[in-house]
Amino acid sequence: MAMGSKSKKAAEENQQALLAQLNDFLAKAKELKPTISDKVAFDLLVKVVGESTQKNENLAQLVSRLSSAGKSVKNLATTLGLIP
Amino acid sequence: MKLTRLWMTIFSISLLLTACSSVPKEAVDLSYQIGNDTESLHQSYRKLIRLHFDTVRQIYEAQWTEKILTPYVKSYVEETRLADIVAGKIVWDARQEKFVSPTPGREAIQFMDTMQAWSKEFSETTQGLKKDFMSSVDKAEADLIDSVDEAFAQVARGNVAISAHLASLRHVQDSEDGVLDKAGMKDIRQNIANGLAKASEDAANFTGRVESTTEKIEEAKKKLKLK
Repeated sequence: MAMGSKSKKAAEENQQALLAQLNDFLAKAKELKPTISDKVAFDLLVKVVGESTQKNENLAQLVSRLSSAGKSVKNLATTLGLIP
Repeated sequence: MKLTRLWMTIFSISLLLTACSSVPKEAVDLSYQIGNDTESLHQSYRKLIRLHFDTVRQIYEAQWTEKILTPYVKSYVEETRLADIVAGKIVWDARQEKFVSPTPGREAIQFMDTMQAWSKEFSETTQGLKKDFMSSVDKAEADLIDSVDEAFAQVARGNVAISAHLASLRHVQDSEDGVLDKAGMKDIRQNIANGLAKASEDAANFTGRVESTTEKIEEAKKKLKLK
């Protein structure tokens, strides 16, 4: 037993009342929480867009490679004297 | 002749793939810019929340001092008979857990021990009470910041996906423009886009005229029925 146990107990009881007031006030802070889209649905959208992005990148690479291939063929044909 | 066919094939594929749409470089830049601005907004939200809770802390710390600490100090000083301790009338016996008269010849050391125990208990009690009280403010602040962080992270993730997608469209367009340029048809995309825009405008005008004519016919029908 501590030397000021009664005082401590009284302070704890007083604090409960003030804590209830504080918690009521803090409950209002929850209204500040942003409401955002469902994470699962959002992740799915991001995934679909990501896959489409990858396809585009592959496509860009394909077009670029085809272009390079065409250029190489042209150079080869020029070297072989097949075209002027 | 074969080379011309090759170029024409690539050109045709390119046209089919792009369907004459275009993504300006600025669209990609704008998307990245939005990403940066969103992060700035995020930090601003965080600072605002911190400021709000700092104010809440100040208000409730003042109330705690007035309603909890001050009455506790008064009560504790009375209950622990501080005046009697200071006057040397009593000392705290830790083993018996009660106040006793000082042992003759050991008054000074017993007084020191008592004051040390007194201040330790006072300090631990007040710090514990305050920590319990203010922890709900800390928790509410942390919860709100977490939810804002989570929301902005989701927005940022979405924006990154869109930025990357726009950039990929731009890469496709650049590759195809390179092919079109080699085929000597650099401006064809813009010409087709302009043509489609004009066609769309013409179609809108035509639809408007058709609707207007329909209305006039309806009015004429009504008039005929009245007669």
